[in-house]
Amino acid sequence: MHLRKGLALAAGAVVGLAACGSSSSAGTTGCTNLNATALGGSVGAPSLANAADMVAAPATVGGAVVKIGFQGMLAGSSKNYGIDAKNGVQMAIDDAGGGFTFNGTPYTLEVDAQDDVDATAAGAQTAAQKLADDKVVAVVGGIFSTASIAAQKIYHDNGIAQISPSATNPKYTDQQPTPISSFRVIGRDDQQGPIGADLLVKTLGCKNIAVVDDKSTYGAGLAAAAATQIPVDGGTVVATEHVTAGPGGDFKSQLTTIKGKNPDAIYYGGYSQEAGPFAKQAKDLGLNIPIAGGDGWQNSDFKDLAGASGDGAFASNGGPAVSSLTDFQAKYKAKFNQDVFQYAPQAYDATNIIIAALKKDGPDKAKIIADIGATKDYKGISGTISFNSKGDVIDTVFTIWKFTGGDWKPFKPVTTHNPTS
Amino acid sequence: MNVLKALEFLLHGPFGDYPVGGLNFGSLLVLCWQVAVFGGLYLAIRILAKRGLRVSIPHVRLPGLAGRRPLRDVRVLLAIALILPLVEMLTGGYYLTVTYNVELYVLLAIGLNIVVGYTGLLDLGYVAFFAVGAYVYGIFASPQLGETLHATFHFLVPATVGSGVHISMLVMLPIAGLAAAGFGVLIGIPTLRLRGDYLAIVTLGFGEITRIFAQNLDTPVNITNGPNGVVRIDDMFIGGYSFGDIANHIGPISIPPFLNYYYLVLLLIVITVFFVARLATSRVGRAWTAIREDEVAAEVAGIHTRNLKLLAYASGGFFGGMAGAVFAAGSHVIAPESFQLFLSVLVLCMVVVGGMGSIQGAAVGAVAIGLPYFLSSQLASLRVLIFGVILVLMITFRPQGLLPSQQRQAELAETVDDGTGLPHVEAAADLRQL
Amino acid sequence: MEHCFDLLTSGITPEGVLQQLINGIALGSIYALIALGYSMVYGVLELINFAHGDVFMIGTFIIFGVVQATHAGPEMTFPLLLAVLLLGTVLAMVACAALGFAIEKIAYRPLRNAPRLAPLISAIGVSFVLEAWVTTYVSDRNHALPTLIRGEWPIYGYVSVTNVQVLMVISSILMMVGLQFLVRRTRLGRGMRAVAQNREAAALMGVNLDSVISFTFVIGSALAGAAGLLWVLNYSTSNSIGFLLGLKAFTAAVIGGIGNIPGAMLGGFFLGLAEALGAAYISNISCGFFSSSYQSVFAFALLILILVFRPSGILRERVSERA
Repeated sequence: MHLRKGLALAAGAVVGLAACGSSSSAGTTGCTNLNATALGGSVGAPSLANAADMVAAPATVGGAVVKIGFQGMLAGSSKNYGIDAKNGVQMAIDDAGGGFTFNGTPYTLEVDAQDDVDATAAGAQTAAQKLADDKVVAVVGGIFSTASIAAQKIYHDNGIAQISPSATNPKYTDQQPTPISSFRVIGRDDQQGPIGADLLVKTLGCKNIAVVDDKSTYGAGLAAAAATQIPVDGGTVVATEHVTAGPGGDFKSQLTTIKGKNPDAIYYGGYSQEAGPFAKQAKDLGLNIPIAGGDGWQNSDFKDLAGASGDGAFASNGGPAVSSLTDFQAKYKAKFNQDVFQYAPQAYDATNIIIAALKKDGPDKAKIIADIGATKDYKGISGTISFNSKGDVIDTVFTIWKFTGGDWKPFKPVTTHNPTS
Repeated sequence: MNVLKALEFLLHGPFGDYPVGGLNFGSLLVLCWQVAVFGGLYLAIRILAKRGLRVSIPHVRLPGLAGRRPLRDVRVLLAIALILPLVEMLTGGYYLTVTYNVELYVLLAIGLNIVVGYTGLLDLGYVAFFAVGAYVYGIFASPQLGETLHATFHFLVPATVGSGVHISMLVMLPIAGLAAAGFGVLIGIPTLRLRGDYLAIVTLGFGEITRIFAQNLDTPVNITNGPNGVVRIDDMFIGGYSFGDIANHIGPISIPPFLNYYYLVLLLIVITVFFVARLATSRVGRAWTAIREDEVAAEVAGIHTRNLKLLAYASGGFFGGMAGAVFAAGSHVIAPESFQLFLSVLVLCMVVVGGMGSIQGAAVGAVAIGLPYFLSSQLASLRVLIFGVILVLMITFRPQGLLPSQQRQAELAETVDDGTGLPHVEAAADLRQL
Repeated sequence: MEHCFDLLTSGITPEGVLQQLINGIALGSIYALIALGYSMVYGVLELINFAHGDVFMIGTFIIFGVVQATHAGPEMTFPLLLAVLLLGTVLAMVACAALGFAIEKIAYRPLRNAPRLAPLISAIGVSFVLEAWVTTYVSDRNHALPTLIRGEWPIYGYVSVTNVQVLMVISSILMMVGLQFLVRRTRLGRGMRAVAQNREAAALMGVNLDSVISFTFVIGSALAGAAGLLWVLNYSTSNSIGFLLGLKAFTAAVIGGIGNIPGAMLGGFFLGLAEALGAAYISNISCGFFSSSYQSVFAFALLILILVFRPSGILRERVSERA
């Protein structure tokens, strides 16, 4: 079944690419450089030896229990994101042998995972309060920006460090209470949006670009950042459209308007739930142009929803596409019997940063915050992490992925910089 | 743990997952199991019922609520409400936070009860009032307003205004309430002619429209900050006392922020209950009852149905708006997704399950639904499933709710007795007094 | 001001309008099919069956499941593909009909003489149960089929109609005609109309109330199952599509004049067109104040306008003294 589907997808890929050049008619420039070379060969084969190591991690468990908190959606419609990140935390703890030693005293590490009830403000606050009651030393989470911001003050009041693996809204770090205690190991919307713009305009040579978002916190932020960057790169935003977030949407109206504007490419800010059908309906309407976006739909869900129609889509995602990540994915699969969904690598790194602080200064919440803030060139799965004074990662590595033959293939790595202060 | 296991077994039997193409085909077996188990149970009850065994849910009499001396009972209730958070503080902040959230539901349910329970206007868009109150407070008590003014009229408004206007809650709470009340009138005017479930669906529409506007009013002028929501909302404060300051303490005991908010909401509830209880027995309250029972008859009897209906919307909106303002202050961030349709439905269910038209009923309904709902979040979708089943069972077996208002209970009994559907004696008696 | 004037004319092309019309009618035909079920139930029982959208959702899952179980794909020969889709549709219709029957029996029948609020709450409860059941036991993710039926007819410029769109419109009209025949020409239909007019009188005249009401639910739900096919051929499905789609379909029914079968159809097309054209041109006519992000407002705004100004709908079926 899968093999057959794969073949059909591969056939569709050829059609999709060939059609792009011809879609731009009379007067428009079209994308000049669609055949830009993809990043090939740098992806190492998954190392099974490592996976075996992982499963048989030596247990140095003993001593007092130290809890690392996790806040995220563990139930409900977005639980895939939350459970995935929680698994990342668990994996980091297991990789550390289930504990650590400080000043010769052994400690046992545990993850204390709290559901923030569909990432609502009330849910996030109750989860945060529970974690504070449970005396966790630091928290990984929340997953979505609103929930992360809602919980922020409670962590701050209780002197608990918070590292979000995935909150991309700039205000999460920009407007946090001082002295800072909230960090993130992922790029901000205003970093990731321009990457898509650069890709479409500079790399692919597309001039006229339609910008679409789903009016979600994440999607709108990303699309706005891309729309700002496009003219800077020398492109033109020819249409700005919004779709209604929600399952099973009809986007043909927006797509027809876009088609009327004759763009060379589309930037789509949003999640896979809409991006998949969006890409499919675009093909149905004969819009065979590249669609680019961010990490919200660089996942397997897009694969399921768009199928062969997704070919020719590009999406950036945090972290490099290097062998360490592939190893991580294999280990993850062996451990949890499922593929990495989205933010497990970031959650893994965040947890490791916390564990490093624990090893250095022991279970002291204030020192952990200071140690996290002082993290310098930490080599993680999702990139090399140093925090600036706001709590953002200074150099964030992104990989642009291309959807070809029914799956995501790494296309091009990009590094972006945040100011150090 | 064994109890949970047994419950799970009862619910879905011994079947595992059989995924095919992303769907779990094992669900077919689960379905057969459930039909067999629960269908059998249902049939057994039916047969027993036919044999003369009366299956009825016993009348729940909660001590201290439906007794004969309500004043004393309210005092007991109030005493419990006053002491409860202090006890909870001993266990940390979690239960306090949960209680505070449930308490907000209680305030919402009592407010909605004015519209639905007393006046009989089926409002499925109550969340709109909550949202309006939250946004009014959020915009005025955060950098949002200053930033927007500076961005729009930068030649007039200096950037220093960007840090927001920071007005005391004594001013902001009533303003948020009044804004929501005004919004209630705005919604009320076009819907005056509608009744029953047409009204329900229109108010539902208004609720959704409100949310969509909140999501989109970041252009052309940034009012709500769109999908990003309003962040960095101030805690409430009176004079120099900020509710969110962790440095607050009495003697050696520090006061957690949610304790402040808990007592604030409790105070609002007491004010609301006082207001509603007084109103219910006044001319206005009797007129509302008359409108609920038979609008045409009420109008014929000389009641200004238009004004009174608008008043019901406005007072329901007022309390919803204040609840929204507290919510915004307590969570420091509001976004359109906090104001989903589901919240309206949930609060309506609280009112209905508790017993329409009764203050205690609304409060009990809010606690009975809100508390388990919060505490069972780990059950995920199963909790919604159970909630739905209970809702259906509740409404089919006990349509008057857990703690029906005594007046309505009498009316329901009359309906059963005469079955004519004519205006009821009680309402008619009320009309004579007007 | 000049900017607004420019906006009024810019970006509006004949091709664009034509394509939007086609999109709108295709989308509307699905609304129409779901609206038929709403309209019938409301006509007979005066009950907003909130669970109807979720019955439709279950229909989409059944068809999706049949396609997945048979490994059907675009590479299959056309007759075989057609057989699979037909099998799925029939299964979905049967299952939805059974579900509709059971829902009426369990959740609505005991409340037939209860206050009007009671069945509404019960309906909301059933809607929760159906959605949560699918989430818990079947799948909590989004699912979409690959494009199964290909091919399109060029119309004008870049405008074209796909085979699927043709199928959608034709099948929904066929079902409407069949339903109209059933209601107008058969004994059962006469019973339904009698119950809709006056329940007590109909019962006195020897109409079997229970069976007529059950039958109404069965037919309406089966139509929702059939609509499921049109949906999965175009869009993705998930456990939560039911409620909002149900609301939109109800809007369509109200627009057309609730209780009126051709009216539900007309209302569906009207709503589909309003959404498509509205999302496309709202920015032009509102001087850029509104944008396509207000798309889902249109259904609700239309609903409110119709209920306030013309509660009997376009085709005035019943003078709804209750509205």
